[in-house]
Amino acid sequence: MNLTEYFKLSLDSLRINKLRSFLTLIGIIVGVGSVITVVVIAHSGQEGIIDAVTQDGKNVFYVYNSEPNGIYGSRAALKLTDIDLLKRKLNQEVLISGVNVGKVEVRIGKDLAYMDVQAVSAAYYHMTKNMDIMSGRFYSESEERSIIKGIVVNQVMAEKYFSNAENAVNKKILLNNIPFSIIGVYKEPTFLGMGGDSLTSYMSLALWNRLTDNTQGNITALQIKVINEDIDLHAFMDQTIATLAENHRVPKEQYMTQSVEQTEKIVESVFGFLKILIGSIAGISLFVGGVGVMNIMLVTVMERTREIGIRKAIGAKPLDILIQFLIEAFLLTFIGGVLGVLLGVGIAFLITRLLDWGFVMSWSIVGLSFIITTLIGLFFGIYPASKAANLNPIEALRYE
Amino acid sequence: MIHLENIAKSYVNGDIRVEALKNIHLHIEKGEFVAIMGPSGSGKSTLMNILGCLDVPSSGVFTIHQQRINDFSEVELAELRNQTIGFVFQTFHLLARLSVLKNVELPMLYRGVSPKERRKRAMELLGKVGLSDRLQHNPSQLSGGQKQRVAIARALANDPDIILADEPTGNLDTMTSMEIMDILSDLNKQGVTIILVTHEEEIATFASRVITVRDGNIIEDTKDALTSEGLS
Repeated sequence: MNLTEYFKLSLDSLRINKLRSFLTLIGIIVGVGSVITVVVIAHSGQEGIIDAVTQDGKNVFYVYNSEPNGIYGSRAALKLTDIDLLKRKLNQEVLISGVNVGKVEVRIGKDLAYMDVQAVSAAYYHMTKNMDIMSGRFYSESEERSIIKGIVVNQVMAEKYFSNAENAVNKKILLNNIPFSIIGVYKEPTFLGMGGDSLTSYMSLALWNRLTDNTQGNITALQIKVINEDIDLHAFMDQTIATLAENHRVPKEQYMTQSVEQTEKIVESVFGFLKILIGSIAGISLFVGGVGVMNIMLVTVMERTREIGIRKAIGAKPLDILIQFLIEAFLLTFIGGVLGVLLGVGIAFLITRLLDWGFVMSWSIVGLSFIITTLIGLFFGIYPASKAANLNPIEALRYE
Repeated sequence: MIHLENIAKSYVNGDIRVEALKNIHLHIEKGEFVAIMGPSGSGKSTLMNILGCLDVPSSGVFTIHQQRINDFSEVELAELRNQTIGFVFQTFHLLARLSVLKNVELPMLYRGVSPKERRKRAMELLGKVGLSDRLQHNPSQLSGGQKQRVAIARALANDPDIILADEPTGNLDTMTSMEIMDILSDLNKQGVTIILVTHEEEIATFASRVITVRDGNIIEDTKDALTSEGLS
């Protein structure tokens, strides 16, 4: 008797008990479905966050002042001049942008609003993947040095006050009562579908420093991209800090770096932990589903005692009976697994759509689900099946 | 062909040790039609189970085709039941959830016969017992007599040497009983050894030899009677 025949036998008996089979399956479906849902959503979220943190590309890192109010005070503060210093002293071709962030009061005609400002160097435009200029332009390096008050605003801002992106270009707005003109409109990347309705903008560091009376020219962070992708980034980050420390005559510890890769790793480990945590909770429902399968298999064996007796009387070997019932248990969980995967992927797809996240399929968890459900079927099926296989044919035939 | 020598069977039921069979000597030749009679509790069911290789004796020697069944493993016993013996039961023992055709195919399934051949043979056998028009029916849709005919077709599936019929007419009316006994008689004429367990004298008359069991002993064997008569 070959395996196909056993499968046919088992499928037949599952078909006969359709409702009961389905009810038993629910445990497995819910178990597998929840694992898949959680993991696929977490996976999609992780990809989204990694996408967001890596938008500035590979070999990008940030330099911060680790103790802005430390004993070295303003001497340690990062300044605009550090950008030129680093460009001169570092032995690699780099793009460097200073970064300051803040909020500013903005007046558009009669309307008053608050707008986030990211003050960055013109080089920033070449360092980020996600700068999508819809209309107008980003400021150039020569503009950066001029006194023309240009600002690049986001699509939300343009559409809210000027009906569309094209219309907004060259329009005047007042920041802290100082007139600026909009030179470009950019489309903001959504971050996991969130934060799409605030007003944001970019302007040069020089303008921002003047707008905020930052006469020292201090900057919060430096964003550095190394053109050569094959360098040892870690060593290069150390070199950068050392150069800065030497120039400011402060210990190296005054500065710290964070690379995109490091951030990516942190995100991955956080999500990895989340997946394991929620996955194991969902795993409990899989276990409960497995116990359900075992329970129903025991009932089945009991109910079919006479059938087993008949089969044995006419020549079924214990192994034949064992395999028949084991395959039945396996099929129960496997079908549950398939339906669970479909359900889980479906729900995850809907939720990611609803949140406007990118949907990222996690095939490894699908594979793992099938392996686990198969093991559950075999594990919880083996006891009822061996019970069936070892029934005494005479007693089984007499069973009412 | 079937040889029982000094067979005893005892089992423990709760605290009581039951001697179901004591000192049974029996020899059945190929082609015989033997009826085993006896009141309930006489041990005839136990004897039947041993003859059917569903149970093994506690002591004594039991051979079929010169093979010592006592030493057989469970797998070997299953093979023997599958290929050498065909069962016909009082309560038919058909699988309720399978079609008539599938029921008859079942012993061949366990022998590893290909689906095509299985089907062919099952249809042929069902034709012989007059049920060609009931192939896809479920047993529940059949009358008692029809069920027993399916059971006989199933018993014949692997072309066994022996048919063990345990009260095959116990659940049938007189007319149907006679039909079933006619089928068994025909099979016997074709050379199949038939062992029939019954408590009805009328049914036992179909057999050429009647063995009476009481209290775990064979108390009468018409063959001995004949032989001794012949001798004297």
